[in-house]
Amino acid sequence: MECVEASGHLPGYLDGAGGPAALDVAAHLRTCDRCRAELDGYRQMREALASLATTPIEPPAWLLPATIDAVTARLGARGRLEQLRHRVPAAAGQVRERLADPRIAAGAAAVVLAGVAAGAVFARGRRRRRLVRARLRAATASA
Amino acid sequence: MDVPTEVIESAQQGRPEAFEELIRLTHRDVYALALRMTGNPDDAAEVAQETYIRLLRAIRSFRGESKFSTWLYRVTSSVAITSLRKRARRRGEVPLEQEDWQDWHASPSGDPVAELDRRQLAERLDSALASLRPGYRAVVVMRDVYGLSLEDVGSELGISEGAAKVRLHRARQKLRQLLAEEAPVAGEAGRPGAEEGGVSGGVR
Repeated sequence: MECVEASGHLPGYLDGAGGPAALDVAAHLRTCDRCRAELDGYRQMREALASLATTPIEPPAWLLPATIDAVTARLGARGRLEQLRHRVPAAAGQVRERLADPRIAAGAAAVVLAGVAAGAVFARGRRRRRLVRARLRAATASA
Repeated sequence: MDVPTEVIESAQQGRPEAFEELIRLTHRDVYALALRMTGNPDDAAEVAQETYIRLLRAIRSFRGESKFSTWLYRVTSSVAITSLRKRARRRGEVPLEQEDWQDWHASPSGDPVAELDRRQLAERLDSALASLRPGYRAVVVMRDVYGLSLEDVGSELGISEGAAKVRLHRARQKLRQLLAEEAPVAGEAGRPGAEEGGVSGGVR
């Protein structure tokens, strides 16, 4: 294997990657100082890259409070929504439970019927009043 | 990054004070990763904020199968990649998943990188990383800096694990080339073929 070809395999060889070329690369490295130095360069670079993860970078001072504000605002909105989601089924459940009592159910039915009847009477009265007003207008117009 | 389990569990239950503590404990690391991925402080701050917004919902899916730091790095990387994609679209650049090694040249002969001491190398790495193309930078940062698996790297970038591996190797070559270009000339002077300025000199 030539240096040019071996060099192309070195970034992967670093990870201990096998593959068909690994044995040839290893054989080449045994006899080539230059490629061994290049592999060493890659190794050092990788170690230095890994050390970056623990190298602190100070974020701008506004970032922490702004992020906390944004997140807690969203949490608050989500919390209210979830409370509402729990409250609606709970209220519906309470209504169902109360209607299970025959006396309350009869009372509720009576209230509904009374409401319907009152509505019907009111609507009938309104129709009559409209009719009377229309007749009056016709009478005054002909006079 | 060290986040106590009880803080994570309380945050999973949606407790605001736990989230606040979580942000305090992790925001430096999240920002650092975002900055290394995007190479831009404004984009990094935006990515950091967006990461925590995404975390509000995503944290319930954390089952402790991996370290919390690894999991959070993955979420941050994902948000950073979305940001890089948007930036590429805005600027009419090549999409990340289609980036290819168009600008690669053979490494200079000799190995000036091996001659840098650790401190010099660490100092130069951040600026060399910032000079990499976004798709290559993302791969190196996710894999070599933060230790994410190649499977995760490929998945975040929308490419196969094999393609992520090839891209990682090419990105390492390019990064080494960038570091070598910055390395002191004295490091190359005594090496065979350095004057020829290519791989031919001293190469068998």
